Amino acid sequence: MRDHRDPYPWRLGPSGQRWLDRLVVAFLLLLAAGHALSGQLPHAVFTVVEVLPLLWRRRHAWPVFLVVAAASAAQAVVVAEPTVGQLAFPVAVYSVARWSPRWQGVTALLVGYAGALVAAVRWLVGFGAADLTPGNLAPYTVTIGAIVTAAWALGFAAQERERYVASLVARAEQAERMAEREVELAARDERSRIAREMHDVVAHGLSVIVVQADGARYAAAKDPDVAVGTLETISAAGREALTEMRRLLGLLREGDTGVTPQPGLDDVSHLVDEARAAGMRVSADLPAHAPAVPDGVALAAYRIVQEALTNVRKHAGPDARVDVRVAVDRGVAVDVRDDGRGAAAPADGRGLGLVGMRERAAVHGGVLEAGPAPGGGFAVSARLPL
Amino acid sequence: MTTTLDTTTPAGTRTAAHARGLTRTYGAGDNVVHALRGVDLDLPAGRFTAIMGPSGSGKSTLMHCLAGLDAATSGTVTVAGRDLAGLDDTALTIFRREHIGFVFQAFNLLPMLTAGQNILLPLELAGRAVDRQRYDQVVGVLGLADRVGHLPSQLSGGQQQRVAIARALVTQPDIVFADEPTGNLDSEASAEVLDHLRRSVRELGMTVVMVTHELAAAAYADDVVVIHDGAVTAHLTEPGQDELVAALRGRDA
Amino acid sequence: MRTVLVASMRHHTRRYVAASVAVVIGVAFIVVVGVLTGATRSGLTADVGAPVEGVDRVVTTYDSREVARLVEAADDRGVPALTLGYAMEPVSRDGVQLAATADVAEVSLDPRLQWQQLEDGRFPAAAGEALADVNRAKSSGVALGDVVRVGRGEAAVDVEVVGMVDSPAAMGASLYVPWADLARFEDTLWVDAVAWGGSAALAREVAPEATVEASGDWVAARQAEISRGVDVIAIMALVFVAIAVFVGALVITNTFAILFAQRMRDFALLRCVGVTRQQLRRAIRLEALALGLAAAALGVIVGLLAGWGLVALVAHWFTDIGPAALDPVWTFAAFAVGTLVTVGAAWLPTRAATRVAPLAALRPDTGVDVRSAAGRRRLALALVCVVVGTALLAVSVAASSVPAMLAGGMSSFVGVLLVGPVLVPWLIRLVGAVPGGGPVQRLATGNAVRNPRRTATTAASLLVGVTLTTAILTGLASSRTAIDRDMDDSYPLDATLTALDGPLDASLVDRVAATSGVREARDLDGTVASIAGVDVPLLGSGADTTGVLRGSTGLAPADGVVLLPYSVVEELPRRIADRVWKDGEVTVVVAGRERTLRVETGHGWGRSGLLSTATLAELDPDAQPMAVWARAAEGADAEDLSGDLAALAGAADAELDGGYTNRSWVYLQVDILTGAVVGLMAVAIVIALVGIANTLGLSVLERGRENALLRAMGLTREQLRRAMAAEGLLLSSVATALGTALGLAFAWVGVQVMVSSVVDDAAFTVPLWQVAAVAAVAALAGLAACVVPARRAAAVTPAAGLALD
Repeated sequence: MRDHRDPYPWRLGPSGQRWLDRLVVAFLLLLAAGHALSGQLPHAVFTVVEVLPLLWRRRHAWPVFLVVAAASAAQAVVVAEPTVGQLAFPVAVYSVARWSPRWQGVTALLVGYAGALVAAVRWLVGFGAADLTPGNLAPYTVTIGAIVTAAWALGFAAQERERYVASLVARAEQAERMAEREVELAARDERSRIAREMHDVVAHGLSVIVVQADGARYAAAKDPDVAVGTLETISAAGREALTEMRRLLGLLREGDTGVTPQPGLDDVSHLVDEARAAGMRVSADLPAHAPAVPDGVALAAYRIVQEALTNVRKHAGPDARVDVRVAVDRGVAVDVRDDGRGAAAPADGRGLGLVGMRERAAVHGGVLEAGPAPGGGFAVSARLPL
Repeated sequence: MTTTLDTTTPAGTRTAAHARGLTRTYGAGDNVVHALRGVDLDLPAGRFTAIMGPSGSGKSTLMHCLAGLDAATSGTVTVAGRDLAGLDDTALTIFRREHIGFVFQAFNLLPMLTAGQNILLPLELAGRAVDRQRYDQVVGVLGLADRVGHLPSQLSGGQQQRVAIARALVTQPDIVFADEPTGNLDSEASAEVLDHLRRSVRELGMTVVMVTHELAAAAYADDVVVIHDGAVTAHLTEPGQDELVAALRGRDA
Repeated sequence: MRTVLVASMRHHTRRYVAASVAVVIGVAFIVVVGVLTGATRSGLTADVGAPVEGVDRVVTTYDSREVARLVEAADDRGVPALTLGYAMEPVSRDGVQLAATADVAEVSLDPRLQWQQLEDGRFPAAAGEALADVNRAKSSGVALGDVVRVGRGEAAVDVEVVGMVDSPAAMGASLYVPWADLARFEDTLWVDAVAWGGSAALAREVAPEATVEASGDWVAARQAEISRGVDVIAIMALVFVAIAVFVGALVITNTFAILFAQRMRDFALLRCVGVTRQQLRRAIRLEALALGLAAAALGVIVGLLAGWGLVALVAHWFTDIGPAALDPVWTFAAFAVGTLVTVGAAWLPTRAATRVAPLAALRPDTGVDVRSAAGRRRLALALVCVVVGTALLAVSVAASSVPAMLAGGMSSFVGVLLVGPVLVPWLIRLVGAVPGGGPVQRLATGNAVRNPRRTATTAASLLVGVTLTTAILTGLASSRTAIDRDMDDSYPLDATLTALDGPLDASLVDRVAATSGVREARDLDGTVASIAGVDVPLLGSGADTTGVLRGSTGLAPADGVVLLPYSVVEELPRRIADRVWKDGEVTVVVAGRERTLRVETGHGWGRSGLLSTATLAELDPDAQPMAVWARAAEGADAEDLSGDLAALAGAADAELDGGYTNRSWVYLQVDILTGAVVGLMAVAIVIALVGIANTLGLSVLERGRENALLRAMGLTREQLRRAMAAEGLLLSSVATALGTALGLAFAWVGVQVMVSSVVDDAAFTVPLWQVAAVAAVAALAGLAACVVPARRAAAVTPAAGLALD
């Protein structure tokens, strides 16, 4: 039921503009015919020369203005009275102010003023006025000058408005794009960090292992005891790599110095205790003893529960009850459900946290669903295969 | 035939509205329709109650009578301590203005007023001064701050219903009646609307009575009243899904 | 489809009634005009043949000598002949003037040609006896046996009223005298035919230049002439009929558009079920045709009844109106017009209605909210119309061209109508934004502007009526001002009592001033002068007479100048009169002294010459009051005044003259015209108000759910009624304001074009009271049009409204 109707039906599209220009020029030329019919041939000719360029005033406002001004000047010399072509002058001034750079607009305005004075003098003389006193000239000059000023002002204002609107539109688009990019970046950052550091750690460790193993092969041919030592080194290197990797995964959480051991499934109960201590009503259904789960998966599950509880704290509102369930079967099932505000909570930046959670689950080949729960509240559920 | 709820409910002993022997019949002679047959009902305050039943069960009629939109053929209706039977049309209208909020399934908003104006409509009609704080609170809670200047035709279905809820809440009514508020919405928008209604009960202390035929919507409610053929067959407190389905299927007390 | 048609007509009867009221009124209007003009025509043409019943032939001639010869010849041969014509002469009784000019005709002494209907007394048997028209005698207070003097001066004759007759409107006179007496009034006698009882040969012999025709032919020709005159009035009335029909067409179009919008779901359903577009269109058009036929028939019946009643009513005052006659052609034309307008007006909405997609029936009903503002092309066209119209109006003012004015007026008005959907809602919002109305006002404004096209069309119907009425009233008022000035120049004095022989009694001026109906009276001193043997009173007129004079130019001649009325110059001998015309000089003799004065001529101050006070003093230092000039009070009754003053004049041996009677008569005509125009335009306005009631009433049906929502939310019945009333008031007041403004503008142009070309310096007078009255009636009647729809809307309970589909 959105409203697609144009709220400004009188703004013309491109074809409408063309037709308007043609109509205006045709109308003025018609009036020029009046000149011709009354036998004022020079008037008619000048009018045509002054009016015709208006067809191109939108694209080439400045040249059009120059032509019109020149023709008007020529007319002032040859003909003593005003003609219908005079109407083209304000239109040309408006066009310059509307579509051409500002300096051209101001120049056109000044030329217009000069033209006003010239016209006043010429026409007064033409009408046979006795003497050209400032008193005589002033009304004409001022009137014509006012018309030119009005035309210029209208064009100027229209151009200013166009610029302003364009700037607003550009700003809005930019803001939209930036928001999109932020989300992308967050996801990508997460992923690339994991990948990079994981690569560093593993590559280093593995290269040590490979070197050691190669060396041991040759050395063991001569001295079998060297093999034992090398195996020890290999094992140490491997463990170091593992430790480094864990440290790496732990480093993804801010503020962790990496000294404490990486959290696993047993530590989820700590999360629950922390939450309870902070005043949340949590009921937990956790496995009794630590099942055999790869550290990475356990860490991922831990982080998911952590993020979900953080979201509950931030968005579920007061008096929310939380249900945390972790079960290990053929995969790790994590369910965090609250009966808080659910979809009624204002959405502010929650998206990024959810994105991170999804990425973690995806890294381990699992799926994560997060959304309003039936019956109210919010539910996060992740399934991580083993 | 009816189950009266014990007034000592978990949320307190206050009832926002109750009906005794409420009967409503239409037509005469062979065309007579018994929409409600002697309904006794207590609706506790501060709870989210759903009135469920198949189409034609009389749930909409029940809501209309409770809300003072329709006059009962016999029986009494008391809302916020006031008996509706003795009030004439103008008094009833004024009572509605001050004590009752409405959310309908569709056509909740006046199409020529903006969202903000729609929200303030009951206050304007009452000639009451606008409590800016309350208005801002309600608009903030429902997340409508950037939509108040739009016309209804420029809002999505979910947003329109949110505006309707805001309007129902802004006068701080004693009870809010919602008639199939999610009937025309997709699941996402439905969840939004129902969560908002829940939130207004939980955090703003409102009493919301919602008529619905969808199980998923009733799941959001605290209590469920089941109505069949114009009579209340069950009044369940925080029912589980099975209990609810059973109550809906069964027709005996 | 027939079942659907019949069922839908029965189901939606109330809505169709709304549409048909406008047609009924329009058709009834046409029929009433026809009946009235028919009755007038038959009344006027009756008895046209009465004077010539007794003869076979009528001789037509304008030459008075031929007439005299014919009468003589008829007398000689004993052939009956009767002149058909009038003399306009003053009639007085016992010195008191009864009428300044009365129409006097011949009554035949031959019983074969005594065609008048005798009510009382007997026919004259010889010269010196007369017949009087019974109505005019009653108003002048003349009774049987009175002796009245007809004519003035030497030609005057005394006749005794021996009988009272009732004469028909077209052929009658106030007084009938035998030929011997009538022939004396050669100056004012105008005869255009003679009823001839003799042979055609004789007639041609006596009057070779005359036309002889059978009396039947002559009567037929006269009747045709009168009919043509009546027809002209009928055609002018048809202009108003056309306006009313146009407004009716607008109303019907709008009503049908609303009706179809409401039945959109029904149509979509039919399309779903398998009705093709053509079938649907045909069905709807048949509905419109059926409605048109029914409404036109009802309109004809209503019109006939109303016509009969009106004729009976008018016959009370205007006894010459004939019986109400039913002209079959006119009636059939009215019927056809009504039907065609209905079918035609339904044409466009039908097209829109049949374009509905079948799916529309399946969508949930969220209320009818058909926003349809003006499209771009329409706006462009409107702009062109307005610009062209304004240009044409400017041209018409500059060139005083009436065709340009009409074209310009129509073009600019059409432009305003086209731009209506943008203009009218904007104006309504402006008016509705006036603070102090609260939610009811906001609701009313919102409802009034939500469908711009519908609002504009409704407003347009009222706009037409108000614009035209305002324009015509203002135009007439301005013309009246111009007439005023003209009158002031032509009749500067309301009443003059000029002494016939000797000086007047000094107390006369006081008695005149004391007469009711006289505002001011002044006496003028003067003397009796002899100009070439003709006695003419000369009065001294100075600046002190300006109080009794109308107009700005005074009647104060310069020294040495005498102002003589044309009638006096005509009385002078040829030579002296020529001298007046050529040299501008005349010699007056006062008390034996001669004096030559310059002459200026004019008229309007009675039979006297005017001098400056100085010149008068020179001529006759001992001047006595010779005349009393009086000015009538505002609104004084002309007949009463002239009667009273005639009595005073008769008693004082003075002659009564003055222009007040003429003035009053002219103003009476203008007033009658104004009243007639307003009455005729009122029909169009009534139709427009029916349109407003329709629009609102039908909108109520659409807004059932919305109103139920509002009631649920806390809008009381009273508030809802007020909102609807406010909506109607907004609509009608905006249309009225716009119409008044446009009407004044058009009237200004009209005055410039038509009046100022004839009268210099035409004033643009706005009859404030009349315009305000029209505006008030139109605006308030818009309010009244909402009463019933508002009541109906408020009567629905919220629950019933919510259940509406």
